[in-house]
Formats: sequence, C-alpha cells, structure tokens
Amino acid sequence: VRPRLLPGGLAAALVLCAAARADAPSWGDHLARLAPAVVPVRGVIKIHAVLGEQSMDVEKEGGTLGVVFDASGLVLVSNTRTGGPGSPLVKAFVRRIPGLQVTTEITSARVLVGEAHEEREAALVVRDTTLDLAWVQVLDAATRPVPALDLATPGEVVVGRTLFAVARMGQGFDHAPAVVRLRATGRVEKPRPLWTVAGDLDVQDLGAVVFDERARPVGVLVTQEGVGEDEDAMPEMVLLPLDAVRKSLEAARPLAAKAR
Amino acid sequence: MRFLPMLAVAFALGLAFPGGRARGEEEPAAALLARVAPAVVSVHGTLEQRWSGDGSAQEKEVAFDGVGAVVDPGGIVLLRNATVGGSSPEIEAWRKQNDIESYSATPTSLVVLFGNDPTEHAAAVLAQDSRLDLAFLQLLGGRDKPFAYVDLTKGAAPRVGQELLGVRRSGRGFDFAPIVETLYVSSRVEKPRALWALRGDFEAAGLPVFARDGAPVGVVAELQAPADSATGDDRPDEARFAVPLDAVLKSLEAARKKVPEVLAKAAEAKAAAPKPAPAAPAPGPAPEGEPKPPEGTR
Repeated sequence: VRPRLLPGGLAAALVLCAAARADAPSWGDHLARLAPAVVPVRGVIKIHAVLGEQSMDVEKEGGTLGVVFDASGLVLVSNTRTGGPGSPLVKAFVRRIPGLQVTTEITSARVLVGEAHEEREAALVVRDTTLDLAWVQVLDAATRPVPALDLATPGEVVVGRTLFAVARMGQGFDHAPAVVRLRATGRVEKPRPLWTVAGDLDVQDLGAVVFDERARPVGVLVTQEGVGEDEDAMPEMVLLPLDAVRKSLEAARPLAAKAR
Repeated sequence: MRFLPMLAVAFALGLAFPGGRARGEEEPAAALLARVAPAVVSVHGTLEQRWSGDGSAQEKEVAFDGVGAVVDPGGIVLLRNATVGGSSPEIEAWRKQNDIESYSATPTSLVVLFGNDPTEHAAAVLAQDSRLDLAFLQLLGGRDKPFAYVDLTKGAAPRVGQELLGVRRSGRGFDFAPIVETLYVSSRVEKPRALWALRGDFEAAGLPVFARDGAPVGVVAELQAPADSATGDDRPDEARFAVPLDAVLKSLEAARKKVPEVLAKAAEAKAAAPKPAPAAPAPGPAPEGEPKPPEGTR
C-alpha cells in the first residue's frame, strides 16, 4: 500500500508548495505594508557660504525621503540630503575649494503623512554626522501618532542576496511609493561596520530603510568616507546596519521629547 | 481517479501545456533576444534645429542616431520622440540655462537599418506623441515579406518588483549587435497619468520591455513631471517609466490612420524629386561661446 501513496503524496506536496509560493507576499504587498512609514519630508534650508571676504546666503526649498522610526513622530532623514554641514558629501565639496566655509540651517520642515500627504509641522532635532543621519520630530505626534516602521524583528544581510529599499517618487509623480532592489556586495569593518551595496541606486535614495527578502529591516542607506582616503575620493553609498541606527535613535529620543 | 494526482503534479510543475510556452513560463533571455532582435532597428538621420533667444535666431543641422522597434507588419517603427526632434529633459534644461525662447527640430532625412545590414530604408515621421515621448515612423518602399515586429496587442500588465527584459542595439562600432538587459518595475504611478516607474540596466527610451514570459508590458519613456508640480527644487521631477501598452496602442492607432497620407506624400515627393545634385558643403559649427542645443540622442 505504501508505494501507492507516493504519487498522491507527492502531488499533494507539490500542490501545497505551489500554493505556498502563490501566497507568498509580493513586492507590491511589501510596498503596501511598509510605505505608510516612508514619508516625504519637505523644508527650507538656509545656506551661508563664506570664501575669504566674500559671503553668500541662499534659501532653498527642497524635499527628501523620511522614515518614521517611532510612533511618537521621530523621523529619520539623510544628513547629506538635508544639507548637513558635517555630511561626507558636503565635506568633500568644501575640501575641493580651499577656504570655503559653509553653514546650513533648516528654517522650516514638514512631514507629509498618509495617502493624502497631509503636511505636519516638524523640526530638526539632531544630526548624527558620523553616521550621516538626521532626526526630525513631527511636532503634534504626541496627540496624533504617525504610522511607524516595525523594528521588532530585524532582518539578515547575506552577501549576494537580494535586498530592497522602500523609496518614494518625487512630488511631480505624487510621491508614489517605490521599491528599489539592491544586494550586499561585502562587509566593511573600518571605519565602522557597514555593508557595501550594488544596485541601480540614486542619491535620492539616501535615508531609505533597506529590508531583507522577508521584508525585515536590516539598515539604512547612508554615505560614508573611507579612512585616510585620497582628498578627491567621493564618499560611497553604503548600508548602515540597523543596530547602529537604533543607537542613534536612542540618543535622539530625549532631544525629540524636548522638541514636542 | 489515479489520473487526478498526476494532473495536479503536471500543473504544479508547469507541464500542463505541452507544445507551447504557457503564460507565466519563463522565456530564456537568449531566446527573447533572438526572437525580438529582428524587430529592433537603428534609426539615423539629420535634424534641422532652429532656435531663438535674446533677439537672435539661429539654425543648425545635426546628425542623429537612434533605436526603434517595428510594431506593425506594415513597417511602423516606434521610437523615442526626442530622437526625431521632440522635446526632451535635456533640451528643456538647455533652453532654461540659455534663455531660449523658441526651439524646433525637424528631421530632414530619415533612414532605418535592420540589424547589421547596411541597406538604408527610407522612412518618414508618421506621428509624434510628446506627452508620452513616443514617435512613430513609416518605412517607405515595399518589401517582399512582412516586417518582423513586436506585437504590442499580445501584452500583459506588469507588477511592482517584477523583473523585465529589454532588447536594444549597440552602436555602429559594434556592428549594431543586439543586446538584452534587465530592469524591474519600481513603482506604480497614477499622477500625472498611469505609468510604471523603472529601474535597472535597460535605459533605451522608445523601446518595448518584456516580462520574463516574453510578453511585452510597456514602452520605456523618460518623462518629466508637469511644470505646475514645481517644488522649488533645482529641476523638475524626471524618471524612467514603462508607458502602459493600452496608452501606446491608442497612440499607435492614431498613427496608423496617417499611413495613407504619409505614403501618398512620400510618393509625390519621389515623383517630383529632381535628379541628385552635388552635395552642398556641410554647415559650419556655431561660433564659440554661443549656446548649441544638445545633439541627437539615442
């Protein structure tokens, strides 16, 4: 009797496998679940540049990607994308023009929440220039919580395996959520633990949270400079592991509480 | 009754459609390349550019190289509108930087090459859809057999995250060898219109892209957000998209209606054409320091 069970059992197993594959969450499912915590952030930056006796002031409106890390309204943005003076990219440009000094100030910030992109007033809380992160607080989040990323189950990075980030299209395309595929290409220990990455990445993806194939967060896209690099070397876009981001988040919390 | 488990096995293994590729079944990239490449053509010609700004008017002739896909057995070629003189993000940026008030570009000669065959096939612009950055050419002159073409009516809608393939051609220096590259659907955009945002290696605007089962899913376009969505950023939003096939097919239908008119005009022009005269000297370059529009784009 036993051998006769084989075709039927095999068929059942294969059908179950096929069904399980069909039920596996699609990229679209991942995007729909994760996108509410990925928010456009708009603001005005005041740039003051001094070179010798000449100085220049520019006020510029712009936008970047933010990720709500905490329902209390703490939003992660890229230090580089928000004009952070200590960001590796800004430092690289300043180095190329000897004597140039640049200071920046975020004079207003708004976080666009929900499908209707409701503008919520926000303020820059603190910059973590070492990790190329900045933290922005939604000012009324204590009374009106903001959908936040679930950090309870961190994911796993395996070199060569597919990862994905959740980003958003620009304002002209209604900030539609977008999936960005990438893969880890190596592990770096100095200047700090990082993953090098490859993919069709854009500077606008800086600050995006990266997930593993099971949609568990693994880190954030940042720029970093190598130790003792040539002066002309540009910083690289890398994946900052989630535990480092969490430490930065913990350091930002008390400052964010004051801002609320 | 024993047949049922075996049928289930067959379905689970994707073997239930012997003799043909079932929808959803992968077509190897090399097979797609071999199947699609005959319909992917090189387009060459000359553009007459005219522009004015700051009270002065200028004109210039430039050669252009492009790539297109035959999408109709009667010889309709789909390509990027900017290739045959339509506006593009590069042109708009150039106009903005140089205060150019008006700009136009008209193709004055247009030929299509199949594969690495050096035979030049004359063509004429059939229609230009600046909204989708697509244009359609009509191949002039008959052929003893129908053109190999990509049938856009047998397509499918892609999904976010889905991996796609595109077939383009390398340049003259590499004998127009066909190349297959990958890309994927990054986002579904609804505004200003329904589009699929793309990322990946394949960047050839104006060409169709295919699902892994070989079905076309859209046509690549580099599109800018409307000017009224200006955000204060340095440049308007711009991205690479797959234009959904229903929009492309509408545009193709409108182009098809113009075929008799374009063929009649071409026949008239041929009949009225004088015997070839010695070639005029090529126009000289614009003076140094004066703005020149970006030249022909692939």
